[in-house]
Amino acid sequence: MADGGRLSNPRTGPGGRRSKHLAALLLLALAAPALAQRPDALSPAYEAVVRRYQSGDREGAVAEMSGWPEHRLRDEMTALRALSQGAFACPYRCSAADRWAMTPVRAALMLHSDCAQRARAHGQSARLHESVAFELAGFMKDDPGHRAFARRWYEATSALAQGEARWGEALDWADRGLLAFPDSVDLLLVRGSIEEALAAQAAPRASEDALLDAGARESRSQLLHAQEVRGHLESARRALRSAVTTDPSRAEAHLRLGRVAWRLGEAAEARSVLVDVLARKPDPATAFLAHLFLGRLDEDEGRLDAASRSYEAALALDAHAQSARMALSHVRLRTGDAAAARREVETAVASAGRRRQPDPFWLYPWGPSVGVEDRLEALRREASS
Amino acid sequence: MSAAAIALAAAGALQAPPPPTFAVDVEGVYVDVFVTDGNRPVVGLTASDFELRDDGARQPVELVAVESLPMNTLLVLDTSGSVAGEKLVQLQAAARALLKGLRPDDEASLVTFNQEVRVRVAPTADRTRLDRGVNGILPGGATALLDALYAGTLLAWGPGRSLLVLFTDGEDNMSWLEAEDVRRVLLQSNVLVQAVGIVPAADPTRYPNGAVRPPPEDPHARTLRQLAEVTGGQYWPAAAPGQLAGAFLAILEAMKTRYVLRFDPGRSRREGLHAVEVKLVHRKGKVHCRKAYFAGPSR
Repeated sequence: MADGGRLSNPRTGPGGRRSKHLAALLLLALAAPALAQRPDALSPAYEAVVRRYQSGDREGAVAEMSGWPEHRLRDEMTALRALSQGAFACPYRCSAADRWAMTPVRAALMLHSDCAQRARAHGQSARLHESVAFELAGFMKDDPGHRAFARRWYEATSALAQGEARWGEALDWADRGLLAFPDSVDLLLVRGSIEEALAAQAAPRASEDALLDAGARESRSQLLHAQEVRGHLESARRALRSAVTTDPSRAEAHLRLGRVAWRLGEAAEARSVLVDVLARKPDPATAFLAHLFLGRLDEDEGRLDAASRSYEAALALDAHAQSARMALSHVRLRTGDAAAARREVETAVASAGRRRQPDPFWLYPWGPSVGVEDRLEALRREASS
Repeated sequence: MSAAAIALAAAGALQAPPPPTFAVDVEGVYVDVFVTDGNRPVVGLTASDFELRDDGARQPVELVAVESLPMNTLLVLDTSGSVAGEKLVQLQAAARALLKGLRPDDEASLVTFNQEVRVRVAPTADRTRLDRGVNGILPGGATALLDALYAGTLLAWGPGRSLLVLFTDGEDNMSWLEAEDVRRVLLQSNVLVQAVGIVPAADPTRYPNGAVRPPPEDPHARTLRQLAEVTGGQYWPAAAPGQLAGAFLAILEAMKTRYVLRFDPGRSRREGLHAVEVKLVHRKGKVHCRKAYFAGPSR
């Protein structure tokens, strides 16, 4: 079996020696009965369902594979593990390397990913197919011919989990991906944005007001929550700093770093980073958020005129954004102009239901998960091409 | 709720009707007071039973007959994705029951929110329109609770008696504003907030000596309670959707047993935030009312 023109040998990379592969395939076909007994041989039934996926019948293949019992899948994984180990152990080339190169591991990876997604959609455990997919990705990351694909799969899979608010899994998967690809900005952004969201989620438990009216036992618990919030934010900052160091051109990483610095109470750093984001002339959504976040910094520092200007700059980029309109209303109220504050709220609710695209602030908590289905679909297409 | 769901909600909402507008008018100082003895409301009090201090200075008060004051009620209802199903059915029934219990001339309006705040029905005494608005709620999306409470407060802020009934079933995950921002605004407004939340009751634990230790207050319930109490209102927990109608009707009943104190701070009143304190004189009971009011420029 071949991965649709993406044949790869773990030692030599994709392509090359196509005629030798065909010869090897012929030899494999002749030796099939003997190979069925080998510990590194996949069963014909498994190969058939992966081929089915690869040929484009994804739905049928996923439905079929979803019915497989665990022990059969474990057997196939044992064979794949043995095959990959044999292939990677070859000094130059060998039968195991050739057979590995002919195995459509990309299709297998996406098949098991889709099976896991299907199981979740049906409220069933996705653990089995997830573990198979991760094991496959683990083999592929060591193969130069599949390494880039594996990296994109780690990025998309962790982002998918983030998009479905399965944050624990998303963090775990991002971390696994980062072990193999420590320079993946997408994985660092998944980590950073989830830690940011976890901090926001924990924040109500750590509010100062709550601390004031609570009993001693609760106060201790709230102090711990405050530490929890700080822990998440510092973890987010570490990931985001790595992201901007790895790829200084990624405006989103800078934007998030600025927001996290604000949440940590480090206003000067936050301002410097956000001003820098705007200087980079980012896309409109990122610029909108940078203006919005700068406005909040101004508001906190009592610079209400500057805050108004920042919010107005955000609204100049997206006139119907409720987030910026609410922000502007609030700052108007703080300046003592209740009538103007109310007019801004009326304008904000007037635009409700009239957006064609979400307010950028609504998408901000979801980080790199925005658009992840398109990325997964691209991987599926490549795996079955 | 996912990013994709938010995008769909944004795109799917394009057919909304034109938004209504609200009139602006600000005057007078009314303090809405609820007095309890234990869990029971205290009824039959007169103006002389109250002592009101405005920035520490005692002010003569008059008791305004609750029946004589029109009440503007604003329902601010969470319609995020988590409300779908039985919760929505019970919420709609509770909202209709509350609207039915209003006096015929009382106006009400309906604001809903997910990640977006939307006015469904502008202030009206037309119950059919209001019921239609309630029946037309479709859940979906995230929860911008604080933004909705802020918007509702500004829209309800006006002369007379304004009741804002807030319902939510979960934590805020999409507001721009922070709880402290909204708390400060509520402190300044004349809006009475009654908050209803569905928060499953946690089981109490026991101290080593066997005594029952009450479970800690849910952080989201605490936020709701604190925001309501700033205005003199209360938090009405519902452990299950089936308890929503009871909570909404209890709010209505409590509104009938409240007292409205009115005082005139005079032409020389200071603009800005005033501390207000209300006590009972020669009577027993706990007074629930706002702790401050905001005096705008004299008109």
